[in-house]
Amino acid sequence: MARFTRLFALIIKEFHSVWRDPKSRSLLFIPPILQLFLFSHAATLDIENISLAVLCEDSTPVSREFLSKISGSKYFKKIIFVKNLEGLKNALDTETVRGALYIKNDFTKKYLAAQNAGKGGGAEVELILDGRHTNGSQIIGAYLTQITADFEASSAVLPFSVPQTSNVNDGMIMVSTRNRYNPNLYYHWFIISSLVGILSMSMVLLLSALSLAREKESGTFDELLVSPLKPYEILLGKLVVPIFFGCVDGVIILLAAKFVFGLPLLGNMALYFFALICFLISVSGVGLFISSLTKTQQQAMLGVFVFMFPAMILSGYSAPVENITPEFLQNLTLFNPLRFFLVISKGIILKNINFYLCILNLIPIILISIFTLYTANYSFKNRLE
Amino acid sequence: MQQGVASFKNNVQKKPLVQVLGLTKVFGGQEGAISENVKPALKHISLNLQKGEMAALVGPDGAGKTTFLRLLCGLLIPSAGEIFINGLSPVSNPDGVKEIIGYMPQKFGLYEDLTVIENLNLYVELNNGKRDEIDTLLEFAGLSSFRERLAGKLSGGMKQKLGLCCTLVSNPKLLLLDEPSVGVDPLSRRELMHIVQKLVKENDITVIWSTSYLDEAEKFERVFLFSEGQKIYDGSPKGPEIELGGGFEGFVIKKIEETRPKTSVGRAFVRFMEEKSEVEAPKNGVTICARNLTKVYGTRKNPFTAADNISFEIKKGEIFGLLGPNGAGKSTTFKMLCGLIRPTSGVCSIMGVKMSENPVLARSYLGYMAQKFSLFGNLSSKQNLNFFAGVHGLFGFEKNRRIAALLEFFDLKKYENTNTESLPLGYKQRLALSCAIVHRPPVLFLDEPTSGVDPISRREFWEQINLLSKGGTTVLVTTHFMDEAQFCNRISLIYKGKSLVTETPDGLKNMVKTSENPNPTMEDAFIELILREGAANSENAAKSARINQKDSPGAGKEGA
Repeated sequence: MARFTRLFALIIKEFHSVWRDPKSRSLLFIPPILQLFLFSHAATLDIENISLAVLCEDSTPVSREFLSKISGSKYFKKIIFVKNLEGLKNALDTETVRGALYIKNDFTKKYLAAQNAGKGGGAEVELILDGRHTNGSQIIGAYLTQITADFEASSAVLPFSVPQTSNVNDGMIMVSTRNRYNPNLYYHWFIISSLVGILSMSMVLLLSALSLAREKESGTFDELLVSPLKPYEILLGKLVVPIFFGCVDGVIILLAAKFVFGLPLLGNMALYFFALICFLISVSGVGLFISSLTKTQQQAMLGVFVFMFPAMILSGYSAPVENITPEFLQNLTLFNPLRFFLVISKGIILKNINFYLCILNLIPIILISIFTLYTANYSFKNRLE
Repeated sequence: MQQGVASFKNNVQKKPLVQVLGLTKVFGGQEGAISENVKPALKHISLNLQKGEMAALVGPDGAGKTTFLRLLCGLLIPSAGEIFINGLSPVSNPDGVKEIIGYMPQKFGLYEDLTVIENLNLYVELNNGKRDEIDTLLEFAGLSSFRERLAGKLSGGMKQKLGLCCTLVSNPKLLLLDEPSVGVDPLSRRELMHIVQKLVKENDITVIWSTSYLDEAEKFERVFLFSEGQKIYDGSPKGPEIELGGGFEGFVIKKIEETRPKTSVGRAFVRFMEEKSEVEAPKNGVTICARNLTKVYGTRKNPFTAADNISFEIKKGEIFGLLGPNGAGKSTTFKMLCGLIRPTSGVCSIMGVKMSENPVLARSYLGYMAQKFSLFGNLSSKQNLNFFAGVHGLFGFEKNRRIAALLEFFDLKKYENTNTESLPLGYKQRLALSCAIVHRPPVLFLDEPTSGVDPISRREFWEQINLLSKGGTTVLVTTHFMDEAQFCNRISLIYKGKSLVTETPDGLKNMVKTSENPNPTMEDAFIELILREGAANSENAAKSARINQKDSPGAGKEGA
């Protein structure tokens, strides 16, 4: 009984110390919401609204039709026609455009010849891309390839085309793509389902890392140590409030995801929260560990950043884990609770993954929590000297 | 007041360096407008100070001392009234005033990660001072041998001296020192005072030194006494009027009490504390026991003994003082006793429970009041009490009853919902004490419980502690106030990690009684005993040096 009274008193105190001050209260909610809108709108990898420079030396209905296909697609906002190769180079050099298309004067001739011969691959267009934007350039290339394929497929019905007995597209493989779980490939679906983990993680890390450091600065830490609270009780009491506010932030983001951004939230939300809490426990263990090593809030803040950025990069959020080279860095992600939580989060929100898969990712999180809490407790006890 | 007028007439030809007329400062309200409901921090202060004078600014916490000094150097703008410093107004001519003023705030901004000399160089650059004066200044302040030491590693007294040096690099004509002696041990306090006195004599500097120590103020020729934002006395701390009033301290307390109601904890408090405590003291009556406590820091090669073989036994109801200069090891000893530091060797026990064996049980017996009254600053008074009651296992009706009682006794009701960080210091101290005794501990640990607190609050505080001890609570207190040592039943004098003596206050004084000084004060006793120890040490050092010389064959040959 006395133990619960003690713990309860500590938790109430922790809650007050975060909640009473209007400034720190607003810090609990405004930054996560702000970040949610920034991340979901600004940090998109979707390539839309691209400007493309075109040098067309071949002025025929076929090339015009081809170009109208391009300008009609939703990806390309602006097509800039240039007169010569010099102009093409300039447009790329000055970054007025992301890519440049060069259609040579024999385009129609070769295209029609190939079509008449009944085989593909005759006509050529040249695409020059800005290699500094590696990812974006690849995507533009992919868009243009797709448009070209569409064009080839549909050109059979063009009024000017020579009627053919044999099917033009004979022997061609048609790839029909369907994107499951995110049919329209909305990038913000991907981002927001990850943000639940990332934003609540940063909140919990900051709250837990700063809370002990703040007490050390103000001298109240000694009071805690002199009280009958046991070290692990202090840690436990210090866990609850950060995790609570981390969950509140998670709920806010989920509500926004559902009602503002229209994410499906397909899976079992109870399971989702269980996973979120396990995840936040592991993170607060890290926060308390950092806190036990530091003397001031500044140091704790630095410690948080030292952990947070690698954790984000090695989580599969910004780049798939399988893409991380060298391979030992991939192994490092096995110690990153965020990596596993992101799988669960995306899984439950976007595709209602089955229970078994969820548990498979939950077990590492629980193991990591046990490890971080144990380490925090150990380092905390040892620092009492 | 009459004296003030008289001195003004005498010096009518000489223009005063500092001239203050009807100075009023109201915080929070509209600038310039003095409303009825906002209490002014300063009310109609007028005073003059001649060049070369050295004045003490005395008053309890919240009397307006810091506000006054900050107004003088133009960091605040007066709500009403005028200030002239060397004929210049800090409001209309802030740059001109800054040039002649040196201001040392309560917490002087030393860069703890820079060495002494780097700090000084920095302040020289910032103030366009002269580098070649640094050596003289260091010499002057007795810091020459610490040039390369990090400022963060200096003792409290040395930090203040360095702060003073940094203030002096700009060659000020008027030196404003805001509580320079807070947190400084008596030896260093004396030295600091000597340095400033020498400055006044040799460089014709004018000084205003604010303090809440009355024994310190008594050494000045002139004293301004502030209370509740008013100047209630201006003149010498000696004089017939004061002698009649029972000395300077009695005089000041009487004066302050005229402007401020006294609070008294009264009988109910005694009854509250006397309610039967569940814990029985061990049969021999020893509630706190330290046996051969030793703490060694540092590496094996370079050990530093912070506490060396300290032993004592404290009986139920005793007030036991740990006395010593900063860095002597009294804090280390204190922290070992309450379980914050694990001793390298030795045993300490509370109520017969060994700290090393059952720390949680041992700690549950003690009430702890930390240095600087650490409370949870952004929690209200009541929430703080709730927390401390809760962690000691109190709940429900009993908890609420005790909290209500303590708020009542300590006159904290009006601050029930105020954030503790904005409480006046005296109230902070009361709240810290309430938090420490809410679970009625049989043993109370107080770490520098009165530092920075004004004389009246201090006196009230000791009344409360006395009541507690009469009710059977054992009190262990660390302090560097010599006059407070009087209130202890026994004192252990800690110096350089060792307990020099454990005695009653009178016993300590008797030890240093000489024919020249038949009535030594506690401070005399303290300084004398430390000097003796120092002398013994250096004698020992000399002896061992001689032995070494004899032993060393090389030295012997050279001698031959």
